Formats: sequence, C-alpha cells, structure tokens
Amino acid sequence: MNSDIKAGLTAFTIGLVYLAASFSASGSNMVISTPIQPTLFPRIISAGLIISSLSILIPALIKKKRRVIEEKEEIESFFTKERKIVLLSYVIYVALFNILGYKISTFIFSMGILSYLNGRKWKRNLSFSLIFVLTAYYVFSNTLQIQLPIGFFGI
Amino acid sequence: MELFSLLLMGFTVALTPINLLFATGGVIIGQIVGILPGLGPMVTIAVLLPFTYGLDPIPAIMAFAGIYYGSQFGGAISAILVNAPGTESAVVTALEGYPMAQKGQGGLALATAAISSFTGGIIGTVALVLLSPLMIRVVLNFGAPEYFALMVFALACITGLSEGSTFPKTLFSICVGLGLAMIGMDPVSSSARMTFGIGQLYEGIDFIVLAIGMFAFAEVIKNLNRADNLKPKNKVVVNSKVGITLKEWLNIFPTTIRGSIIGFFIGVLPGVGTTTSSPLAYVVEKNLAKSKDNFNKGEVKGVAVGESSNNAGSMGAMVPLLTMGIPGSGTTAIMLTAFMILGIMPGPLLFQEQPDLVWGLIASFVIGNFILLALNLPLVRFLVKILEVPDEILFTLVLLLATIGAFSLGMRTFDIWLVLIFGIMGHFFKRFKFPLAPVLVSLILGRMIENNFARSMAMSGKDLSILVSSPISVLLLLAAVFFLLLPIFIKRLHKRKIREEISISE
Repeated sequence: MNSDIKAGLTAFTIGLVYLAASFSASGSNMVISTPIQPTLFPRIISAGLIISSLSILIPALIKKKRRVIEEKEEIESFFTKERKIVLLSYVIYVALFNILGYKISTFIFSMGILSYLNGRKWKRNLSFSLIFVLTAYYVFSNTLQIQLPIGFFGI
Repeated sequence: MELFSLLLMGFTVALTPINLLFATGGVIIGQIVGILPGLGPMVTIAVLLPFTYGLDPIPAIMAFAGIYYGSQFGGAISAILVNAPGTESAVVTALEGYPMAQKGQGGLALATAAISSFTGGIIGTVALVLLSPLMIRVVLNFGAPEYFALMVFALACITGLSEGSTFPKTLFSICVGLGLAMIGMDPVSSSARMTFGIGQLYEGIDFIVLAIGMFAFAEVIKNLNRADNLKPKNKVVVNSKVGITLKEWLNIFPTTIRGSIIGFFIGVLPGVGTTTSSPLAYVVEKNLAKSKDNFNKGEVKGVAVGESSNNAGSMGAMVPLLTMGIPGSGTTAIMLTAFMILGIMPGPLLFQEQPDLVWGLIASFVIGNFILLALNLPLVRFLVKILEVPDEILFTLVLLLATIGAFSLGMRTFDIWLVLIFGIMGHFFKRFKFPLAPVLVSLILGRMIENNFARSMAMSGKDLSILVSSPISVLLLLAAVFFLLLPIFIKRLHKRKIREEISISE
C-alpha cells in the first residue's frame, strides 16, 4: 500500500468519525432562537474532510491499479528505538508530573533523556537538568506567579 | 504629518529601557533560533508564549516580533556557512551564499546578507507604515458580511501554505484546523459540541497547545531518529574579513531595493508569505541579470535579493496581521496567538485604541534592525558557534519548555496530553506530506468565520444574500475563488509545459 492510499484512508476515516460526531454532538439539538445551528459548520467541515480525503485516495488507487508509477517508498518506521524510549519516558513523566511534583519529575525526565541520548557526559547532563529545573521554577513561581505542581513530597 | 507624530510616539515607547531590553532580547533569541536548523521562529515563539503571562503586552509583543524578524537574519548565517538554511526563507541565500563561502568569499556573503536583511527590514517597515493606514481606512467600514468574506478570502489564500504538498492535502489540513476550531462551546448558542464527552474540551482547543504540539513537539519527534543530522557537517570556516566595500555595496544596492519591494508585496498576501517571496524575487533578479551564468555558482546578488526579500516579506506579513487580525502564515498565526494571550485583538480598532502599542511595535522593527546589523557584522564568528550546541540538549529543552508551557495555560495536565497527541499527529502530517501551517491558521480563522457568519445571519434574518450585498464582499469572495483555483491552474499549466518540452525534445 503506498503512502497516499494510507493517508487517504486515514483521512477518510477521520472525516467519517467527525461527521458521526457532528450528528451525536450535544449541540445537535435544534436551537431555534439562534441564527445558525451549532452543528451547521461541523457538518460542512466533515463534508470538506471527506471530499479532500477522497481526492487523495481515489487518484492514489487509480495510479496503483494502472501501475503508472512503481513507487518504492522508503518510509522510515515511526516506532524506532529512540522514539519508543523518548515517548514512553514522556508518557511516564506526564503521568507523574502532578504526583511527584514539577521539580522531581522534570529532573528525572531530563536526566533520563539526556543520559539515554548521550550517556557519557553525565556532568553536563546533571548541570543542564539542575539549572533548567531551578531556573524555570524560579521564573514561573516568582516572576510569572504561576505555581507549578509540588507533588506528594511537597517539593 | 499625523503619521510622523504617531511614529515619533512609537519611538518614544520603543526606546524606554524595558521595551528596548525586550526587543533586544527578542532579536538575539530570534537570531540564535534562526541559525539553528530545526528550530525556527514558530517553535520558539510557541514554547516561549507562556513565559509572557503577567507581563506588560508592549515589551512582550516587541520581544516576539524581534524573534520573528531576528530569525530571518539568523537563517542566513547557517545557510551561508553550513548550507543548512535555518529558516525556509533562507533557501535562496544557501543557494548562492554557500558556494561563495566555498570560494573563500564567506565574509562578503555574510556582510551582504546582513546589509541586505537590514535594507529589506527598513524598506519593509516604511512600506508597513505607509500601507497600514490605507488598509485601516478600508477595513473600518467592514461589517460582519465583509469580515466573513475577508475570512473566506484568507482561508482560500492559505491553500498557498502548501509547504510543497498537493492541493487536496492542503485542503484536508485546512478542514482539520476548522474541525478543531468547532470543538467546545458553540459561540452562538453556548451549547457544547464535538467534545466526545470529554469535559476538559468544553473550553475548546487552545491555539498554543496545538502550536506547541504540532510544531515544537513534532519537530523533536521527527529529529529523534537522526540525532546527528542537525549537526554541521559541511561547515566552511570564514578566513576573510566580514565586511563590504562601498563599491560592493553600490553593486548590490539596486538588487536589495527590488528584492525588498517584491518581498514586501508578496509578504502582504495571506498564505503566500516569506517562503514564496525570496524564490520569486530571486527568479526576477536572475532574469534581469546581464550574466545569468553566475547564478547558482555563488552570485552575491543572489544573497542580496534573497535576504532583502525575506526580511521585507516578514514586514509585509505584519500588514494583514495588524490591520485585519488575519494571520498570513504559520509564524504570524502564532504571533496572533501571542497578541490574544496578552489581551490584544489586532485589527483596525487596535490602531485607534492602542496606538502606543502599534506604533511602538513598528518603531521597534526599525530599532531591532539596527541592533541586528550591529550584532551581525562583528559577532558573526561567535554566533556561528551556536551551531555546536548538542542536539540532545536542544531536544530536551524544547520538550521541557513545551511541557511547562502547556501546563501553565490552564494549570492542568490535560493540556500536556494534548501536546503529546498533537505532536504525534504533527509528525504523521509531516510524514504523509500534509502541511502543518494551514491547520493552525484555520483553527484561528474557523472561529472568526463562524462568528461573522452568525452575526450576518442575525442581521439579515437568515437571508444568505447579505453575504454578497456589498461590492467589497463580492470582490473578496471572487478573489477567494481565484486563489482557491489558482494552484489547480498552475499545476495544469506546469503539466502542459512539461508535455510540450517532451514533445519538442522528441
């Protein structure tokens, strides 16, 4: 399957889901007093999504059928080792952001990612992580008056 | 005369120590991110937006504007010395500047880029000062139907932000942005829609969350697989003096003027922007040149036209942003977001209600360009060392800023999860060649279009003919159709030309 067929199919599915959501949206109940219905624009947009996705999909299918162009696409896999590790670490980081608090979770995440990407330079990684965590905390708490989570340990 | 006094007031505002400090900080950050391939003004402004909470709007906006045009300056340095344009608009500069550096003319190329950028920035600012009041006079008479037509026109124009993609893919990106704009409370009836039962989506999707996710986070995901690719491999060392003689300057002067004029007017068009202005100005310059053979081999006029046009273009893009509140590009869409966060709504009324901000901002463009020129010539050897910042530090920095930035928007981790989702979505968009900028621009325009449509319907008692009741509306809607169909005609014309060339060669 070439990339345009994959893209077209995914786009078409998104269009259908969006159309279905526009029918089941709580705003789909008639609101008589308003100049336009809340679902008018979502339905027009779903039509746009479906039409544009079909405009991607149909030519790609015709091309494949006629074998006009033999495409040998080398699309790299999304789930490479680096991406898997960084994204998984990020998911854990976000999950622990409120529990451990900003300082601890951010420090662990920063050290973890830097050590994975360049484990040898631990002194540099440690200084970057510490400087970032403390500077950002100071800027947000003192200058911008935004309280970052302190978490379970109260730090 | 009134214009002069307004500009004078602008300089008074821009030259206050705090504003000057922020403008200088902005241009320096812009210069740095412009040099670094992979980061860009969009990513930087997106991750820095939350840092402006609680700040006075004037210095904050000046800093963001500084990042925007400072990056145009910085992009040239990596284009010339590493053949890796830091920004898309510096591609033309790389085409001519890198061969110049290889021939030992790196110093001249860098100086030409700095002076041409300065000329483009100044001419662009002067044109912005002259054109904005004229635009405002027209826009002030707009009612809801005219605004609706204007938004439709802007939406049609952003099909030009295709980033090399096909028309259906650009259309899909626009529809995705519009679709996301519909999530949350309906502005007319205040009923929830398209929230999929998720309570946190009732407030809608924040532009910044989308910008941070799709631009900053997606960029990190993309580059994770090629950790060493951003590092300079073909760096050329500049041994010659970074400077330009009067004779050399006189040689490039007409070129910079032409480049600035073309760049500005192309930049004004929403959706066309600086990415298009420099290649177009370059083609014009090449056609005008007596010795066309020098181009592509290190022609100094190529560097001059590339840099003057993209800097003037970035000023041109400020015209629809400031006078109508319409973002013409991904970066100006993020700038518009910055305005909104700071409680400012760009448009004709802004010039009347907050002249100190508008004219202060415009004056800061002039001051910023002087600061950039002063920085570029003596400090270029030092600035190029920024390219040696390790990628893993950059990636981690962007991820951390994205996370804290998203959290600080509403003090909830839900926004960080959204950043992650949009980041992965942005990566897949890039991978399957769907342009990203139209998603953000149409997310902003989507809400405006619906509001103005609803207001028009309320005014006319649901009579659609109100949308074409004034000549301006008709003109704008016709122009929208023209811009929408333009890519299709260009593609057909291109195909026909290729067929003709094949038949001639046979």
